[in-house]
Amino acid sequence: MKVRKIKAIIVKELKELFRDRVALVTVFLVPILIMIVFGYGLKLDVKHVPFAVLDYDHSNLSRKIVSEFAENREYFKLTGYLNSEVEIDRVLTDGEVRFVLIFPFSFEKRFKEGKIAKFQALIDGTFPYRAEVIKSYIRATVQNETLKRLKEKGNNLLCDIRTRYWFNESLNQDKIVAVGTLAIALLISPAVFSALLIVKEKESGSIYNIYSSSITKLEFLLGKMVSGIFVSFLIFLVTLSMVLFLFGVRPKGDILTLSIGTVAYLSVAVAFGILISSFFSSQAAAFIGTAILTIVPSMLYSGYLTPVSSMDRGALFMAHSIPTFYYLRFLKGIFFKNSPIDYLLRDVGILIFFFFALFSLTLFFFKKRELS
Amino acid sequence: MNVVEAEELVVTYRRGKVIAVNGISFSVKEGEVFVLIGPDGAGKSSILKAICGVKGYKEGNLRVFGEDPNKEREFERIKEKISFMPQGLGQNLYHKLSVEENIDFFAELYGVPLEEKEKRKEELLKITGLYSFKRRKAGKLSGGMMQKLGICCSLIHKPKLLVLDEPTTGVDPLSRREIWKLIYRFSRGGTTVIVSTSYLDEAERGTGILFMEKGKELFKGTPEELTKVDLEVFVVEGKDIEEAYHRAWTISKTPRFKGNKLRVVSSEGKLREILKDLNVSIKKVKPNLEDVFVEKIGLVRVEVPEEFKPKVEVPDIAISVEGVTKKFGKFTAVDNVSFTVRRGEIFAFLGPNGAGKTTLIKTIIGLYSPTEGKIRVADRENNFKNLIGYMSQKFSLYSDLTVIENLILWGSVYGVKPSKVKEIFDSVSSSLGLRKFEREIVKNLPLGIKQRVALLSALIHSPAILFLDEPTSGVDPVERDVFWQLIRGVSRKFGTTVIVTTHYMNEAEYCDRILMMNRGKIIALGTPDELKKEVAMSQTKSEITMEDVFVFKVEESEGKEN
Repeated sequence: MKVRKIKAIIVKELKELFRDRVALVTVFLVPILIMIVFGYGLKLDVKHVPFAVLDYDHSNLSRKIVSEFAENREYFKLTGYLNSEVEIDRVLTDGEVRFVLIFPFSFEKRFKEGKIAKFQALIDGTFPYRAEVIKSYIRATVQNETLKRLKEKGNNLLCDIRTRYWFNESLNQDKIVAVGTLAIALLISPAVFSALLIVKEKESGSIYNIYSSSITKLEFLLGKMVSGIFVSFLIFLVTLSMVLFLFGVRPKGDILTLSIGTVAYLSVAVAFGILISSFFSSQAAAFIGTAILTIVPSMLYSGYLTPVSSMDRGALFMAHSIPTFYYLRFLKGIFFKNSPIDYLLRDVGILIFFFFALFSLTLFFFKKRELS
Repeated sequence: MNVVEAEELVVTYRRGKVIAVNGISFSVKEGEVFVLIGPDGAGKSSILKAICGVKGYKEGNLRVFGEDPNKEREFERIKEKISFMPQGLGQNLYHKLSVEENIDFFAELYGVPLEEKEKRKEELLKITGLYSFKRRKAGKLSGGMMQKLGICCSLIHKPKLLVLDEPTTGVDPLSRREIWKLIYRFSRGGTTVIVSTSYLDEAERGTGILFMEKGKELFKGTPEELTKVDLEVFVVEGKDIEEAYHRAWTISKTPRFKGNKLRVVSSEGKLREILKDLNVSIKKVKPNLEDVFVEKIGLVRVEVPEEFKPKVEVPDIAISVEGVTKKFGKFTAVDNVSFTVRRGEIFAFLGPNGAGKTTLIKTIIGLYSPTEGKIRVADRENNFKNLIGYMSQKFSLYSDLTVIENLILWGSVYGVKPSKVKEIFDSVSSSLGLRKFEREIVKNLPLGIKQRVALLSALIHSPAILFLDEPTSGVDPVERDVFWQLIRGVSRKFGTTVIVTTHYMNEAEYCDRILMMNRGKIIALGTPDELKKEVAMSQTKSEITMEDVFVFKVEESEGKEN
């Protein structure tokens, strides 16, 4: 292995990139856009849910319960009262409201008689996750009201619960999403960039210079790999500063550990892109192939959108076989938990294992000749 | 010792589904300049790739410096001795790197020692005339210069075998000559060279030739061997040339028009006998490779069908172009060009890539509007689209449709009913040799057939003026002849005006008049004979070719500028 040849490849790649304004913009613009689009656009919180009321009872109690909902402005937004059942259909279908509360005749009367007073909530179930959350909000609100009334009647509660959130004290979803998006962006961009690093040479024909020369495939691949990791690290610096300054998330752990883990993760992404490029010969195909193979699993199974703990067996297996899962765990450890170093190093170790596995596969599949 | 030894070589693509090279045998001796020649798709590149070990071969035997390229590990060790320049204008260069940086990169790839690299780089840059451009980005070079840089890069590590895949395709004649000079220079220095080309006239420059078509060998040997055949070749010219051509078919299978001259392979007695009452002169000439080639394959007589007779008569001046300039931003593609084309003429725009030929055609037919100047087609300034037919550089065919579907589509664009298209196809398909391809998907057709279909689609509405943009790149002489018989036929029989662009200098000889362009300007205008005569007066060479005319004219025009 000659370091000189590896260096020649690296120098060539970087010169080409930094002299090509279009390529440069694409390389950095794409991750920035991913950060902005997902970081701001992906709202998993269910808040300010619009609702309407159909009150047949017109009693003090029904009004009291409605105001209990309406006053909780963070979660609910009362759009108005309905006059008839016909209107329920309309407001739910139009999406004007997400749920409707219906109070039957003699609602208050039953309550005063000591019977169970029932009222109905109709929830828009087109988006199950949201519907579930709304249901639990409604439950909680009603139970709160019930408990209050029990207390007023002089009943002592058997037990009470005080909750506090750890790691993300204000329970700010935006911060979690921003950090998660960092993990996604740092997989997609480096992988796509590295895939094109080789495929562009196949498309133009300059790959024949490599095929026909005496440079070994290890030297060539290492050269491409190091160029890819170097450029990816620049992407990391850009996206990290977005997380720090734009989204205002400050890590509890130290930046050095973060950088070391990130280099491991970027190496995996780059190695994956280069592996993919062994199977494609057109830039368009390599681009789409790499994008799909990175976006889909990393979004669905890494714990970015769905908590890993709520996955079924198959999904859980998928989660553990993709590197983003470990990096996301690592990132959360650094940013929110300030996890002990051996916890973090375990994830970095797994990432390094991924890297060697992918690189060995690439060495096996990459041929210094055209596919026949 | 033989540098390359091939026996019954078979090279395939797509896991054996496409056979590119089918049983080729040849050998290349040390110090040879070996030329592989054949039309596009003949299998030239595949052979060269197999030799350089960048593509495996399927069957047969191949040895390069005694090693088998299919044994990857062993072959890696001798890759330092080989250099491969792939096909495509500057495609293997790094366009964002400067000339010097490109050479440096190649030197590093092969691990050339620093001192030696600097010395050799300087030498190569000086020989190729690139020294003063060494800081220029490779992407900003002209086609010819890119190819020369490619050769520099290939030679930096002093290979023993230099393999060049179509180094002169798409390069202007001036640069072509320089590239061949370079090849000879390094060949004299002991380098073995293997070159592929689709230009028949280049084959004669090799010490050994292998002529291929569709993956098979047509013939091989030295140029002397190949042309030292007992062929009697005659050039006929004079007033009754059309009739002479007609009669020549009765005794020869390869009569060919070359401009206003007729070239026939035949015995002298027979030829004089059938032409005796005609007003023509007959001159015996030396056979060239093309004669050998077409005799081997045979030409086909093409009848021009009545369907292609234009429905509209155009005036005597079919096209007039007055002071036309076309600019794209700061770049002037066509610079103050004026000329007229008469009805029924075959008129050629001749010039290297980037001379402005395609822009000029597109401006005339109204795809671009001129920045300055006036254009009249059939005495109209616009609304002439139904009078013209246009065949673009890349053949505007839909590759996933069948031949007949393509034609119907084109017909409906010009308002020709599908039933009428079918009728035309049925009546012309056998004389064009297209009958059996009617229901074939276009992308599976050989290039020559695609070209005929493209021409047919441009003719389907019987236009009075036909524009053809580089119609014959990469097809073999037989296909080319069929094509020109058709063109000549519609022009002579029906008075259809034909405008054609080409960078094949030989092709220009089929035309009545030639407009030579370089860098957007007209550098010469006249009949082939006029142009040759003009140049002959200032040169001592006995036989002037169109290429000589071009080189002379370019040098003259560039001289004026400086």
